[in-house]
Parts: sequence; structure tokens; C-alpha cells
Amino acid sequence: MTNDNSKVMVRVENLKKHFPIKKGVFGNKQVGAVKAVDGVSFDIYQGETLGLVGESGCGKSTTGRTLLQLYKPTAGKVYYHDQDLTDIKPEEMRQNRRNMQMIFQDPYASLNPRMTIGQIISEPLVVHGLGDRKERLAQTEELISKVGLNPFFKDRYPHEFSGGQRQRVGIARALALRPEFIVCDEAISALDVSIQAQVVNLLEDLQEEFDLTYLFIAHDLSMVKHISDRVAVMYLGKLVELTERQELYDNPLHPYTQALLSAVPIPDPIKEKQRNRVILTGDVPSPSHPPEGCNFNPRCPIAEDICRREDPEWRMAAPGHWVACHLVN
Amino acid sequence: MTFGYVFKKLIKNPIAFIGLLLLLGFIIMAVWAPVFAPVPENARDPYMIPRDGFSAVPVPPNEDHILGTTEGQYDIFYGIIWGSRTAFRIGVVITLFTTLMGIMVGSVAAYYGGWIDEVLMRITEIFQTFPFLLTAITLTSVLQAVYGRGEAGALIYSAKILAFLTFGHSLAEKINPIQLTILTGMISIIMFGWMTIARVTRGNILTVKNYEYAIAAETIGAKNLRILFRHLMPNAIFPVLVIASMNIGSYVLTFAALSFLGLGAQRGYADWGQMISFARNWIPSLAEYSHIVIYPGMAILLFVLAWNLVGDALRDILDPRMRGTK
Ligand SMILES: Nc1ncnc2c1ncn2[C@@H]1O[C@H](COP(=O)(O)OP(=O)(O)O)[C@@H](O)[C@H]1O
Ligand SMILES: [Mg+2]
Repeated sequence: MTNDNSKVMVRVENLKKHFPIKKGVFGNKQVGAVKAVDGVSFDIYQGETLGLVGESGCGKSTTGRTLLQLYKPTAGKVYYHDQDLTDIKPEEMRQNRRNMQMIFQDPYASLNPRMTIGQIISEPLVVHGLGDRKERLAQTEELISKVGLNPFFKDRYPHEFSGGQRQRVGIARALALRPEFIVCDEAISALDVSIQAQVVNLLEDLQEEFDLTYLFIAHDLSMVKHISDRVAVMYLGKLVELTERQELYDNPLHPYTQALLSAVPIPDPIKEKQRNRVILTGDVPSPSHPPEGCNFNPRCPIAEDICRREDPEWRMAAPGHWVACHLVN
Repeated sequence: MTFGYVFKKLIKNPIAFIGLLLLLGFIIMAVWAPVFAPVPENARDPYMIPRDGFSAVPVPPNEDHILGTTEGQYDIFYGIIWGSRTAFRIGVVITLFTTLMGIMVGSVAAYYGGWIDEVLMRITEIFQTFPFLLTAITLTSVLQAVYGRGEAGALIYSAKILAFLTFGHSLAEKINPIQLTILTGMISIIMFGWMTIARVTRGNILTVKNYEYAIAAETIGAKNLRILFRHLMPNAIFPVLVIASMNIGSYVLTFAALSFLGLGAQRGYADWGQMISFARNWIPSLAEYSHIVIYPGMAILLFVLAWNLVGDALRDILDPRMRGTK
């Protein structure tokens, strides 16, 4: 799906988001910063699904939110069809939101408990003044059936639904404005395994029907394997590897990716036996005190001196295969 | 969690039930005051307690005055019945204002953050450093002096708005001097009674602001005010209402203290605190004339208790840990 003439829809350049840690009587003395996202660069092609994987707390949600300008970036650029989103007026960005939407992780916290699901799903239309009352009602009912719920329930409140059903409501809300790009922030992580597959299938069907482009965030590789065209791996605020899905699973270059992959069981028993298992020890360091050099070096099984001194460069090691590691040729 | 659900829980909770029952009693008393304690024919103002003579010595309960009379022969029963109206009016109107002010200050501070938050919270803290009762006493006497000289200007308008809400007077009407003292007491309590609500509102909004549905609202392109009023406030406001309901009782108590000191309602006005103030001259012989303190005192006590019981039960029901379990 992605080749040289694929069209870039979103280009992220050296994006950073640091949350200040404040102290003092007036809460105005900055004593440090949580470097939630610390310089990531990647492209998202029109029509693809880019998976973004990493352990919890590594900055995936912050990347998604900063990309959508829900957080003001500390540094870096986000281009959407060549328009720099970090440098436009709030009202212009508000209009842009019709094209880019988000599906959230927590099906309980992502729906306002005091609004009916009909109100929730039609709110995007209301906010942008689209259609009159009757048209909005018709559209809302259509959206509700699109995500596999019964329009009859539109006057019910979120707490009357199951987690999976609520997630469908969140999907309908994201679809209401007919966006072309959706950030799915762990959209399936909180659901039962049996429900996860259903929701992934729904997302795939919708992608086909509406020509959607996804940034699909998840905390383990098995969740993105099925849906992604390319996969990016994130560690402590930085990207460590990004390539085509099959290439990543067959030929992972970064030791962190290798470690993540060895946690994913391989169905073939011979391959399973042959492969090198990389077991990670220790915890992820705090993003307010990242280590010197490569962020991964304290846990890396093959780290050398240079890894403790210098930040590795984000570079293309093979065509379309990006990696940040000193020890990869 | 709907109002219906909360109400059902309230009725099932025995403590809340007692509170609700007490409140109901006071409401009945206030609504049918003219039935329980008919207004004498020649009375100019039904809120002035009728007198039966001018003797200074209180008279214990008897056939004509079932709860007795105070110094100056004011009928205690009449005063307690009509005093319930005063209590509701004062308590509810003060609470209305302090709650609105608190919610406004707290939510604007929390939603906009930055220097707006700084400034509003510093002001809130400054107001909080004043000792509430002492400040209310001082401010009331100052306000009464200012009004007395007729130089109040903007304050006159605030008093008129209060008079409209409390006594139903039109804004064009001149303020009745009997009510003026009550209004100045209320203004003092309002000016120094909104800070807790502001702080609690701010804290709640800050919490709700980070919920995914608030971020979702921004993602779909909702504007600031819509996010604040439609998504943040409705979800941050329940605990604030609990505090507001408890405040009604405590404001009435504070007002009673003002009246007791001669700063709230005028002599002879149907106000429980004012009635107790008659006892100031009889402290050495209270054993003999205990009825002049006990009955109005009971009224205040039960009124405050009722609101506290209801508020307490509301808080248990709305406890955040119970949220989401439904
Ligand atoms: N609004 C915020 N303020 C301060 N720190 C934050 C905020 N949001 C996230 N963080 C911190 O940034 C880091 C990355 O968080 P997040 O992007 O949510 O990670 P992920 O989605 O990968 O689990 C965490 O250490 C988290 O505590
Ligand atoms: Mg996350």
C-alpha cells in the first residue's frame, strides 16, 4: 500500500511535548519537565493505518494529542496536507477538526455521563452548525446503525451500555464529521478480548467505506499486527523503529523491538524454538529524568559505551526502514 | 445518576429521611404560617410579632400564649411560626448568591488557568483569611451606617436586588427600613460566604477537565464556553450542591448571631435569632424564664440539623467512590 508515490497526509517533524513540573508558593517556579514526547518524526500516508506501539507511559497518547493540537507542542511541526497545524489560528484549527478526529481508550471516561448517546453523537454536527434539527437526527440515527447499535437507543445514557457498545458510540462520534484521519488511542485496549476483534473489524470496515487514515495506538505488538500497514515503536518519548508491518515482524532491527516481539508467541513451533528470546530487565526510567545517551541503554542487552554517551540518530537503515540505534549498520 | 435516583436513595437512608421530614415540617410551617398563627387585624406588617401589653417581664407558657411571651410581651409561638419564613428566605437567598458566585469564580479559574487562576485564587484566599463571623458583624454595622447616611450608590442596587429576591419587592420600590437591616446582614454574609464553593468547584473542574470526554469535546471542535457549561460544570456541580445545602443551615445560624447582637433583624421582627436576643437581659434568671431561649433555640437547632442531615446523606450517596458503579 505504501510506496514512493503514496501521498503523505500528515508529516510530524521533531515533535516535542514537555509537561512542566512546577513548585513554589505561587506554583510558578519550574523545577523540571516530564519529557512525554521528546522529538519524534514520522509520516502518515493517505489511506494507511500506522500502528504506534510502546509500553504504557512512553508517550503514545501525548503524541496523538499533540499531533491533533489538543496539547500545544513544546517544539516541532505537524503538517496536514502541507498546512502547518502548529502555526495556525485557533479558529482555523477548530474548522480543521472536521477532518481529523480521535477515538479514546476508556469507554467509561470518554462519554459525558450526563448526555444521551444521541446528544453525544450529534454534538459534532451541532458544534459545526451542520444541517438542521431533522437532518441531524437522521444522520445521528444513521451513524448509530453504522457502528452496529440500534438507533432506538439514542435517548439512553452511556451507563446503560456495555464497554464495547460505548466504544461504538465513541466511534460514531468520531465519524460524525466525516473526517479523513482518525487517531485511535488504544481504542481496543480496555475491551474484552472477544470484543476487541469485533471492534477492529468495525474499524476496518469503516476505513474501507470512508477512505479513512488511522494512527492506531496500542501498548503491545499483537494488537496492531492485524490492522496496521506500517508500525512505529516508541520508547520513553522517542521512536526507536518504524517500518512496514511484515518487515518489522520478520526483521526487527532495534533491540527493544526484538524484545517486544519475543513476548509475542509465534504459532509455528519450529520457529518458536529457533528464535532468540530477548528478555527485558529493569523498569522504564522516568520521563522527567531520561538517561544519558540512548534512552534504552540501561535495559539494552547489547549496549556499548557510545550508547551511554550519545543520542542515536533517527535514520533510514534500509529503504522505508527507520531505526534509532548506534549498533545497527 | 439522575435526580430521581438520588431522591430514592435519600428516602431509603434513615438519617436523610429524618432530615427530610424535619425540612418538610418547616416548609409546612412556613407555607401555612397565616393558618397556624393568624395575623392580627390591625397589623401593619405580618412579620412584626404581635405584642400583648408592654410589660418588660417575660410570661411563661399559658392559655393565651402557648409558648409564652418574651420581654415586651412578644408572642413566641407567632414568632417561631413566621420566623420559619424568614429563615428560608434568608438561607435560600444567601445560598443562591454564594453558590453562584463560588461556581463562577471557581470554574473560570479552573477552566482558564494561568494568571486568571492565580488572581482569582489569591483573592479567594484573602477573603478566607478574614474571620467570618467577626467580619460579618463589622461589615453589617458599617453597611448600616452607610445606608443610614443615604450615600450607598451601587450598594443600594445590590440591596434592591436582594430585596426583590428575598421579599418580592419591585426594584422601583424604596427599601423598607425594617428590612434594610436584614438586607445588610445578608450582604455581609454573601460577601464572605462564597469561598468554599469557589475552591471546591475549581478542584472538581480541574479533575473533570482531564477526563477523556472533556478532551473529546475539544476534539470535535466545541468552543470554550460550550465545553465549560455543557461538559465540565454539569459533572463538577453535584458535590457543590451538597455543600450548598449544608450552607443554608449555617447561614441561618450566622444570621441568628447577627440578630442576637442587634445587627440583623430589628426588635420584634419574626426572626429566631432576634427572639433569642431578648434573653440577653435575663441571663441571671434564665432558670425561671428558660422558655424565651429554648423554643426559638430549638427552632434554629432543628433547622440547621435538618439541612446538615440532608447534606450529609447527599454526600454519602454522591461519594466519588460510588460513582461509576451505579
Ligand atoms: N497532562 C499531563 N501533565 C503532566 N504529565 C503528563 C500529562 N499527560 C501525560 N503525562 C506524562 O507523560 C508521560 C506519557 O504519558 P502518555 O502519553 O499518556 O503515555 P501512554 O499513552 O504511552 O501510556 C507519562 O509519564 C505521563 O505521566
Ligand atoms: Mg495512553
